[in-house]
Amino acid sequence: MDGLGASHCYLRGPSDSLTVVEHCDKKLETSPILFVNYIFGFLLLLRTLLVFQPMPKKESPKLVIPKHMAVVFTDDAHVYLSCLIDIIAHSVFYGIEKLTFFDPWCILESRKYEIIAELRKFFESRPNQRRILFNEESDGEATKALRVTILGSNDGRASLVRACKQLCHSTEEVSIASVYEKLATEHIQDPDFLLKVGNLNSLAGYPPWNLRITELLSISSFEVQNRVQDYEFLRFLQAYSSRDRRIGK
Amino acid sequence: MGEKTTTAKSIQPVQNKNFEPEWFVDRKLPWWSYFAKRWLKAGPLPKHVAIIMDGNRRYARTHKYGSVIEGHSRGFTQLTQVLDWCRELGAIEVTVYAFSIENFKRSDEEVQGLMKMAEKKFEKLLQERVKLEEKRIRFRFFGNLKLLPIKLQKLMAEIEWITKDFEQGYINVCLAYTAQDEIARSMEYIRRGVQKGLLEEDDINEWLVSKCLDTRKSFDVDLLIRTSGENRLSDFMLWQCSNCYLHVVDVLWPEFDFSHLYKAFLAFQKNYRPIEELNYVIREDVSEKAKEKSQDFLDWMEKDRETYTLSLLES
Repeated sequence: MDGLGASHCYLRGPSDSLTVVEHCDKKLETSPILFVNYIFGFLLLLRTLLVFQPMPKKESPKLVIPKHMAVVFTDDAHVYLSCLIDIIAHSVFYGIEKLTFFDPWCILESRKYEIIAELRKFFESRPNQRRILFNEESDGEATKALRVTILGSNDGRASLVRACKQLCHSTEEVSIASVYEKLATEHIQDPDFLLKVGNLNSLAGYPPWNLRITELLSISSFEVQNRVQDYEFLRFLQAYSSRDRRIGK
Repeated sequence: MGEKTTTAKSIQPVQNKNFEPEWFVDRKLPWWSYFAKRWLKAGPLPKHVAIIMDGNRRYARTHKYGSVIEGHSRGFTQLTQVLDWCRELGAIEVTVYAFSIENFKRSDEEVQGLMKMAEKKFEKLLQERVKLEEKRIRFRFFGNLKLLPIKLQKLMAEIEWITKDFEQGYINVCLAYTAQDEIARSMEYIRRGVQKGLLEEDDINEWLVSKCLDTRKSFDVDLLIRTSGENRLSDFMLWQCSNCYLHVVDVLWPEFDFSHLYKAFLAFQKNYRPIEELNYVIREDVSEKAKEKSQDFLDWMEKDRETYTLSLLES
């Protein structure tokens, strides 16, 4: 277009690139070539208006932080200590209160104390962090601590069997609340958000009772195999924030 | 089911030409389904498919139906179709999540509408008894059924009774159901068994808990399908699905077609071997001796469950 007295209209096309359309205020010239040009320009404008939508006002959704996040590894090739460190660091930053890590082969659970020692060593060297508690440690006065729990397949259905064995001696009827109470003594609680890492689309025996209304997100792997980038973690939280949690209603 | 013979007298089967069936309607499959089935049957098939039928209300809203109940009615038509397709593809057992205990929180209008619709559909099922007998499909109802209206409970008891010996297909409908309630009821039976001296603490294991659930006579769930794109279990079959293949489809339930079901079955086949290997790792081994030791308790529990059902049939 020759840009005569133009005013610009910016429209966003499907490839997300800006398309600049100019239209002219002046009268149509009588030259046949110019006439064709103007007809072509008019048709182009018409096509643009019909095909493209005006740029929507971008509203960034409010980030909803899950109180309790669980990470389940369904592929043993993805279980890296560096991933755990990254996830814990991001959780501290975003204010997540509880983290649970689970793998069905008990890779984490069988080396729990070694892993806790490594994690403790790493985080104690970083100043001004929230306190991080592992598994059986008591809260004490650390009300804003991040609690990290490591579980394995013997905490899946087996945790309910253990709860049943305790409840079977009671004279009171078994209730949903009483089962929750028994599981809580093993630090097994409902996660709000569960990130499943691996190609297998199964919950791999994660404690089933606690997945009642948990939002699930599956990824085949982290972008960098043994690290969890901050923008990646933010994407997980954004995915969680976009969920509509109706709870039966 | 008990020594007394009780016959379902309330609803008689109907066979005249003007009768329009709702549960067993002859519908054609897509033209490519013959080849698709041959391909599928070359690999492992899910014996037991569980389905969360989500999206009826949104469908009603987007299609400007008069009420959400019309959306649920459309959802029911879809259900009968999908049950047929599952049988065509070789799934012998299907469990559907029709109504959760949490759904009682919805408006009175919707809850009452759903109860009335369920009554009509079960009366219709009894009228189509001839087809049921021909296909030999057993119906079972899972959930805390005592929370439902008594008329509905009686209809369900009749349906369970007349189909109790059928073995060529199983349809389980979950009504007033949540998985946590089911597991708690199962544990309560175990607690009562211990109190009665029929069980000891050491007899309690994963196998025993499974044998006390509503699904105690079912095959293991192989495939869980959820429609409408929501990625959560919503308190459905939590114990049974702890290591099954999960398939989420981003279409509303009334729009779920044969190709969606077919893709779910294909995806199940692709994940079959790694899930089986994982089951081998996580499942508890229980000896035959331990199972035999619990048999008296299990017989007592069955009799206790039947007592209530028989009282419904006889009233």
